[in-house]
Amino acid sequence: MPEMLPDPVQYAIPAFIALILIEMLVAWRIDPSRYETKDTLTSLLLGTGSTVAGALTGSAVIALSFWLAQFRLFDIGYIWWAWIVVFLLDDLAYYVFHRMAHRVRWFWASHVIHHSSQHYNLSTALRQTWTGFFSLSFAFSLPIILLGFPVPMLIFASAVNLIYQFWIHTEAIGRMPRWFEAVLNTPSHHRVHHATNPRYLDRNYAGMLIIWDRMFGTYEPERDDERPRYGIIKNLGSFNLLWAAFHEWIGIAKDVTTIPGWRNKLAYLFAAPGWSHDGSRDTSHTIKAKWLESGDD
Amino acid sequence: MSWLVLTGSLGAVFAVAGLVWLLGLGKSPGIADAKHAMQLAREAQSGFRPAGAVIDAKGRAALVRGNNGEIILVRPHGAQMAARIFKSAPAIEREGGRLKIATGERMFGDVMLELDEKDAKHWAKRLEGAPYA
Repeated sequence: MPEMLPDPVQYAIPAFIALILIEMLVAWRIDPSRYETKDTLTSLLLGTGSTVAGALTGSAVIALSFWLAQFRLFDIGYIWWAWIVVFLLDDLAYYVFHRMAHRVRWFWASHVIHHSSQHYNLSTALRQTWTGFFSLSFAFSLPIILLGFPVPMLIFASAVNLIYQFWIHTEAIGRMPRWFEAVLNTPSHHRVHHATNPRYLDRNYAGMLIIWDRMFGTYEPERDDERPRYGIIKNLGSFNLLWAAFHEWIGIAKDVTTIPGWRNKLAYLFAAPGWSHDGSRDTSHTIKAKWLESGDD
Repeated sequence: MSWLVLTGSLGAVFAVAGLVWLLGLGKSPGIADAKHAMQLAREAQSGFRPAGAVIDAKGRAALVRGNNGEIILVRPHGAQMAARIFKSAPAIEREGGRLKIATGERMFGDVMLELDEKDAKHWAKRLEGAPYA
């Protein structure tokens, strides 16, 4: 296997822990409701589980990537401009993946774990998927390999993107300077993304650059008069790890096996989360429609 | 990932969670009054118009009735709140003022409300007759 670049996530872990400890102390002084013991334990154990899942499946994804690289269109090496382009393309691929992860139940089943906390703090950032490999989330990055960017370069860019997204999971930072908020993803933008308020629902899918949301019409600014409420539409009401990791997959399995009709079965797999054949459940669109109709703030 | 790294990670995880506990962060919130319960129900269900509520004597849960007769159950979950809107009549057990509601979800669990007997009777009847979809 060709030589890999160093994994920046390994170097970032001590900083993650230090920042969590600092944020906890800030919460202790300012707002003790920002952290809760069982929630933090759940988030960190889900993060550990995700690392284990990644260790088990990561080499398969890397092997597939190198195999696919044989069919690349161009032979782009480690030239300086390729680093800039690969960061941009990887971030765009992340935006597309992330939007699909909220709009297609199959991908949502894998991603929901990250939104399952009703808290929004740095430990929430570590609440990552266990089933990303199974849901084929990595497929969104494969076109970049086919273009001809070196696989280690893409893996490095994805790791940097992941590290960047850690610090934006906090209520301890209000807003960054205006130029920063205009271009980059920030705690303010990402609080909106994690909120279940109808106004904020399914907005701000950005990884590092908020420009994609601005370009594709999915941007929503955080308002001072509307505090985000975090979690999912039907909050779990449980700190069970396995339930947090697999509840949507179990929901899919139940729906697909009990509801008749192939069209319904396919829709329970690939339609928007909350879709139902009898209209008895809510999608983000129906929630927003009800909210607009109600005239609530 | 080696066993040593995994063991070390788990040790760090429990240490951080232990510190949250030692600092006393995230105390479980109670439901203060009917107004609070109705606000929580509105936040839980878009377009929900609360018309009345009853609170457990210790603020551990509440039932909120909408203006169309639908009912939402609210209870604390850690330092936050979790809610369920009933789509069909839940199984209820009433013993005097104690009203036990089975949500039908094993992970969410059953919820017990301590009410005065008159309220318990009244809300049990409401739950049985709500307009379920």
